[in-house]
Amino acid sequence: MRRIVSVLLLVAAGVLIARPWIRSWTRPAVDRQVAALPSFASPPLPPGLGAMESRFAEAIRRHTEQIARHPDDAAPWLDLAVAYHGGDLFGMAVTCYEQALRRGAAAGTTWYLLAHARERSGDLPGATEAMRRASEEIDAPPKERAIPHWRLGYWLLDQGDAGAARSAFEHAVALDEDSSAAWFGLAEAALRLDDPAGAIDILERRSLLRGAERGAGHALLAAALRALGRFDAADEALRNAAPGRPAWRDTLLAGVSRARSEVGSIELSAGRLIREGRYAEALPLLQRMLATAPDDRRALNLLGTSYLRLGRHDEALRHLGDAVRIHPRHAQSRLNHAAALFEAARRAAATDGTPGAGASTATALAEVEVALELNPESAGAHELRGVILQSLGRRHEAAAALHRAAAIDERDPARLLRAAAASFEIGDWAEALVAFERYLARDPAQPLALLGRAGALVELDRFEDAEHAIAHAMERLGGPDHGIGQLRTRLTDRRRAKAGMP
Amino acid sequence: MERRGRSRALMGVLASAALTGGCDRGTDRLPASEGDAAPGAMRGSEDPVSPEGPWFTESASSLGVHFSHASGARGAWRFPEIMGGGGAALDADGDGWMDLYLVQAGHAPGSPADAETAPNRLFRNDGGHAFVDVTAGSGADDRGYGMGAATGDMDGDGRTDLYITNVGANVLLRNLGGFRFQDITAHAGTGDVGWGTGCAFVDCDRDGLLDLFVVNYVRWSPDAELTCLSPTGQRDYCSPNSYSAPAPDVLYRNTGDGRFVDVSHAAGLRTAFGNGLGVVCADFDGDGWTDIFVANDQTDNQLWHNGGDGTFRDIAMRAGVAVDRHGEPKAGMGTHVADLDGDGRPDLLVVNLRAQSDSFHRNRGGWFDDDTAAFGLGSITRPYTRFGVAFHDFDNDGHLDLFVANGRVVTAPDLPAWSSDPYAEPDVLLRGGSPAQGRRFREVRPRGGTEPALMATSRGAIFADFDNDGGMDVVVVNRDAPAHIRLNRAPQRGHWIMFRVLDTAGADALHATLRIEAGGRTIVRDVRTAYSYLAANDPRVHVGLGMLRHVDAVEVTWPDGHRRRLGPFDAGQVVVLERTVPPDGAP
Repeated sequence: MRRIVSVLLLVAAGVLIARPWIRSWTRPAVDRQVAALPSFASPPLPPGLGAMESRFAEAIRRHTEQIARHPDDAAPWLDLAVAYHGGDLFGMAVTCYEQALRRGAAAGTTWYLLAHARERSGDLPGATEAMRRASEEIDAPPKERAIPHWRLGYWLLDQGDAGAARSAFEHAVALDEDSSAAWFGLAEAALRLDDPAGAIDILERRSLLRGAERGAGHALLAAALRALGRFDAADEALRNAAPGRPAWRDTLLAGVSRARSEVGSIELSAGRLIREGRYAEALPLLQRMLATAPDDRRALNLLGTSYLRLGRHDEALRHLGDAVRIHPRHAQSRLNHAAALFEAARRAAATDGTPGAGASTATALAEVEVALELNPESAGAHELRGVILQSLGRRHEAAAALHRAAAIDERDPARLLRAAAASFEIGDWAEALVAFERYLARDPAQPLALLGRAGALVELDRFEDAEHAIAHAMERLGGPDHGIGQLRTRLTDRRRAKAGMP
Repeated sequence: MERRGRSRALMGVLASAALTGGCDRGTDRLPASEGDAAPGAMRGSEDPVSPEGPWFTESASSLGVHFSHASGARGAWRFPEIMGGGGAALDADGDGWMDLYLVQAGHAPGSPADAETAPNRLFRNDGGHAFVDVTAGSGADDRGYGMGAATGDMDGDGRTDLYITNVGANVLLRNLGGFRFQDITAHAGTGDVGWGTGCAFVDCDRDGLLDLFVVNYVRWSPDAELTCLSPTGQRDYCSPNSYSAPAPDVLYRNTGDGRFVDVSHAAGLRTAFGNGLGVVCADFDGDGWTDIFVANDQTDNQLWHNGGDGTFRDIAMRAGVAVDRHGEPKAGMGTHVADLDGDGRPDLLVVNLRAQSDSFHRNRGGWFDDDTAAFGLGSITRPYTRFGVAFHDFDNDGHLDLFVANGRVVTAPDLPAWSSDPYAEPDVLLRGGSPAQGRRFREVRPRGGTEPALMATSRGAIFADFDNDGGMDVVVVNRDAPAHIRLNRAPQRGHWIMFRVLDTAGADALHATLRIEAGGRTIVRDVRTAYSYLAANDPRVHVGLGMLRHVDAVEVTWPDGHRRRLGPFDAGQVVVLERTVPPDGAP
């Protein structure tokens, strides 16, 4: 009996894995769905091609010329479709994907890309139809074949068909048992099907309340708890919730992500704006990049750091957290994430002084140490580590870290000043003096550096030099303010002490 | 004396409506109840509804409303140019016919003005047959860069006053009667200088005086304008998040002496705000105090719970209306509330940007469930960018339908253009389903309810029964194009009734609640003018009755808690429900 069950399971698994081939054998010779697609002889062109960024325009011209040479060939249509898709011209991408399908493009992935482009252009029913076809036909390893099933599931949920959505998510789970996207969808479907307890069970069993899905998982948990009338528990869940669905990895869109490098227009524009400090203007461009390629590391990092610069810490944390989840071995992503975590901790401590602020600072420290493991020569990481250690009162370690940062990269003079101040704070006068003097060589009028140098000279009992330094600071700063009086008093006290006077 | 005159006029309307409105269907049954087929409609499939003909006839020209909105766009892509305009339906002279006020934009702030900015326009409704431009000499000809309007009797004289939001100082116009208005902004202290969008008169503290809630969009100035590009690298309008400058909203408390006090800070409104556009007021939790919902564009929405002590607390996140089902803050534009599932609680709809679904938040009593998909609202409107919106029973079959006015905010060079205007889109009309049909909405064809479909960059949609025939009409204000007046000519409309609920001064009792008993069903509706997008709407409560020829009873709860049960009433009339004052003056 056990053998029979095993054989049956093997057959079932074989059928599941071989489905694309079985489908292709059984599909009628005339594909009505493909035949129903509109026919175009020439490709669509965006208005103002000449005004577009050269790399994008060049890609369009190249693919268009190929189509003119080989109008019945699917490949150039597909190339043009992917270029448009990468450039956010979804409607044109749809047209070109359809033409590629009419010319016999590899069906599964093309249906998938068509579905994605249709959804982005607002045509959800059309997208769903194409995604159904993609889910049947994609010829790929099981983990990749799971993707169209869970995407289809979410779209079916959006159209109110929770039962069909659940089936789609179950298919996805059967193909990839580790797919968080599929399990998350199953939990959502359970909630839609009036089974909030089932939704909670999935969230808890599949660890969707921890790790990458934590924020979205708690948001869904809150909805399920509310449906059960457990409002206090729902409130508690909301405290751990974060807006936005996790950016689940989608390898089937990798070609579109690559096309983005050809598109250039958006990325280059965003990069230029960021370099000019125009973060708010860069946001929409970066969001467009991310809409097409949710796991684009560069877009996630640029978007996250832009939000951080704009003081929108929650959004910064979300995007930088996504970057780390998708690219855990990327040192800069870890560093950006650490900076966002630390900023959040500082903000929390400033507003309510909660004990949780300390915990977040510790998390930020752990994260920056991961970044340093990945790139031990990162000045930025050493510097951030130093600043975090300072906030934790570990001043000696902080000073060492800040000096290490300055030693690695001194292009930013502020880094040197920070190191000098840290040495001064722990009473390492000699180290502080050296650093202040190096800084003053580049910025001779900086008040803190002028006073710091004078102070260090006082503490080193170099009284003559200290006198000159104080006079120099007074001259530079235009008067006796800025704490010069205190320095003079300290100088007098040190002199008296040195001379054994009371 | 004047009130008596107004009442007489209303009775005249009542009589004329009774003559023109009701259809004689013979049976006294509400087809809305559990799955009966509505007249003339194909039901039971997800295909678009194709009744016998269009539901609306475009009539602006024939009615004499020649109003063309002017955004002032001159190739500089100033953000305000893409967001207006709006207007109001109000019975300015108390004759029972809804007059029309249309808000003009003009030259975007910072633009070189080579001509005088056109004013807002006031049109008198002459018996539903024609509108006459009475702007000249009315005092209602504000020339600010206009956005939207709110209506309400803020001074208790029984006349409907007007508040207009501008990019720049807003304006409060006191209705003096006889189509004359007085700008009392300076005296009242209500001239907020932000970028005002949605606004609502609402009695927040139940003192019998209408307070004023003003939504602001972003902190924008010509100097803060940015350069944004389309995917093809061409100049286009920016998104609100480009500016990263959401603006706080304002609450003015009415002190009763013609002045208002800005109580935003004390009320708690500075604790949360976003890129605000739509506003709607309702007692969402049934505690007797009117709450305020603000739809924000790409930032979390706010649901201000009225604490009854002069303070508000944003409970949007806790209540489940801050973001959508997936936790995403959407591009909230227009908004409306209605009891769609028949449980007596106000449900909430927010409409959004292309490629985003609408957000239908079903009120479960203290919290909301995102039931957008279950009601069939997840995909039909998704290809469009939606602004003006409302649930009304346009075919009077007993189920609320949905009208949505659409128009892009950025060009879509990848999609076919609907017209020579690159921002134009068709509007959408959806027919509401019965409980047996899962209450799912399906699109009505021809698209938008007119033949041919009207293509424009639509923004504010104003809902009113302008010809008092029992069919809700729609005025759509279109960016840089003539406004549309779509008179309701839905084939085989069912019976109807309307209620005009008045307070002791004879003004519309905003946010009074009606429980209407008809055919074994209880229908709950509120008196409300502020909903949709940049619009003030008909204050009368319209109810489609299907084949029913009368309602059994109506229980009115005025905003101060006073209740009265009245009825029965025959269908096909406008019933005026006046708030009587008991001899001892008690509520």
